[in-house]
Amino acid sequence: MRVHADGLGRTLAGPPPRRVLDGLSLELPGPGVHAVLGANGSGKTTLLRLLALLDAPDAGELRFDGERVAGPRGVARGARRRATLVFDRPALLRGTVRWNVEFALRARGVPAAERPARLAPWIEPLGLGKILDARVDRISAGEARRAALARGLALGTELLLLDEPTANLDPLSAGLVEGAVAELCARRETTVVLATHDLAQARRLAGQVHFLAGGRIAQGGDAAAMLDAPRSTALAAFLGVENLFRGVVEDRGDHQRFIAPGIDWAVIAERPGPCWAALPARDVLVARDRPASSAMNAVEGTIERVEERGPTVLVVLAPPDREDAPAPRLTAAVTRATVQAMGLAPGQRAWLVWKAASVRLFDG
Amino acid sequence: MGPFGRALELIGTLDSRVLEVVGLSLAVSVAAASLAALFALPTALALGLGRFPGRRALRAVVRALMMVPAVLIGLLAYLMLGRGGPLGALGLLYTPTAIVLAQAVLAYPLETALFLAAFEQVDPLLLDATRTTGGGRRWVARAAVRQAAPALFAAGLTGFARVLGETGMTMMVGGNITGETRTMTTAIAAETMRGAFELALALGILLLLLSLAVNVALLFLEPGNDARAR
Repeated sequence: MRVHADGLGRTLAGPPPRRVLDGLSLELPGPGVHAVLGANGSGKTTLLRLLALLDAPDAGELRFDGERVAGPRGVARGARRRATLVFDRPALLRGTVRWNVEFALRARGVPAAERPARLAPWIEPLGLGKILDARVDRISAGEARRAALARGLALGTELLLLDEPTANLDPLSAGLVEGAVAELCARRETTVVLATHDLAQARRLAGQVHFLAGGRIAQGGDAAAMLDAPRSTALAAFLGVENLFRGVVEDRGDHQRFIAPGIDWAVIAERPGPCWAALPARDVLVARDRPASSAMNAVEGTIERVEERGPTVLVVLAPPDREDAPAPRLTAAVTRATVQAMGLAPGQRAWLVWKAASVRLFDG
Repeated sequence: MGPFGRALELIGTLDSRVLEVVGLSLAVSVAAASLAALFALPTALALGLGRFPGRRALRAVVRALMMVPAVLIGLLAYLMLGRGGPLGALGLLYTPTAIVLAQAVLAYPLETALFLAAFEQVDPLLLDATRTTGGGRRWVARAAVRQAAPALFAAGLTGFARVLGETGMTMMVGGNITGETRTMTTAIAAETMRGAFELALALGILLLLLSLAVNVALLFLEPGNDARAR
């Protein structure tokens, strides 16, 4: 199904009222996984509820295959049957897993004879065999989420909306969920919208990624290209990469180096060439003296700032400027206890240390 | 043997007068609570799940109706069902049916308010989940009733307990006719007034036990009352 959203707006009632979506436009050309990436509170759920026709936008319009289905005047309730939303909580009714799926299929008007066949293909992929006849209050949170996904999949709608389908799931459950989504995708029948804040998941599952920030799609496009080359500050900030640089990988035979103005790091790269290098602040250690360790990268400099960020503290180091270029600031994230134990303060000398493997390289 | 001992004897020997009164009381009050629930359920569904103007005002009206004294309902029922009343031709006054009708009217706002409270405990996400499966209002209502079922049952039981203990109104429309419209409460009142305490006490003890049983049942319903989604 082709989905066309034009200038969608939605304000959530307060207090204080919040303009969650503001002029959001989005085009989903057809079957495939389309990720909507965004931070918590960026409006992903609000957008999915509009796409599911559960809420009406207060501005703009929504079209399914060219047919107008929602606008400020309300939604076409009949069109609700073309989409279904799997929430970020299981939302299962009192009863067994099987009963819940049955109930949904009955509500949709699926004849009794067809119902078992609708669920059957998803029992194995989602690992539901053993819990199918268990009451939903007797199964684990992960199982409940998978059961809810099975309910959504069994409906077989043209548009399937998944709200953070793997958030708070253990790796096993998350793997099953992703596997089921990938399997659905392979059939090329369903247009899937996957809301997630998990960058890696968006990369794994989605062909197209739409980054939601400031109430609209801040950047969208091919998943690999977009995530590897964030063109908006919002996306760069969301990616949570404090140390993000554009440069070139050079092959030195036994190892590779990432070269950028003021930067010469040991990295592990598959091939040389221009790329982005991202060094998460979490992966950077702070030391007083040049440490003897296996870490390939060590930079000495002056601590410029020490900033508290929730449970962690960001230590921003200014390396000495080089002849050819000023050295860019580097950030390390450490615990508050570390800052106190080491007595870290602006103006002091310190070393930042990180492994070559900590530097993530994205092709340009 | 004092009146209390004789009362226990009446209960212990399953005295027919006691059984008859208790039986009628239970039958009438179960019928009344059920009849009230039959009307209270759609009202509560409409007020709880519907979106229409005046919904809040109607909810206030329901709460206000809970405050109407039973004796006033008794008076109105008497006027309606009495010989000169609009429904007089049916000859219902001083019959168990009259008691059922009056008690149902009494229980209706109470049960509606409690049903409403039960529906409010249902996680709205569960209703949205039903909407997004493509089911219309009927299915959303079904989901709400299922999820709130224990709380709804508890509400019905509370309505039953309320009308079981009602006296004045039941006396007015039932007439406390021995073997026909004598309920536990009206029998206790009448027996006490004529100084025959043993039957009054026996019925009083049973009434107390019944209320106790209802309360214990409500207590047990509470953990299962949890209608929140996970």
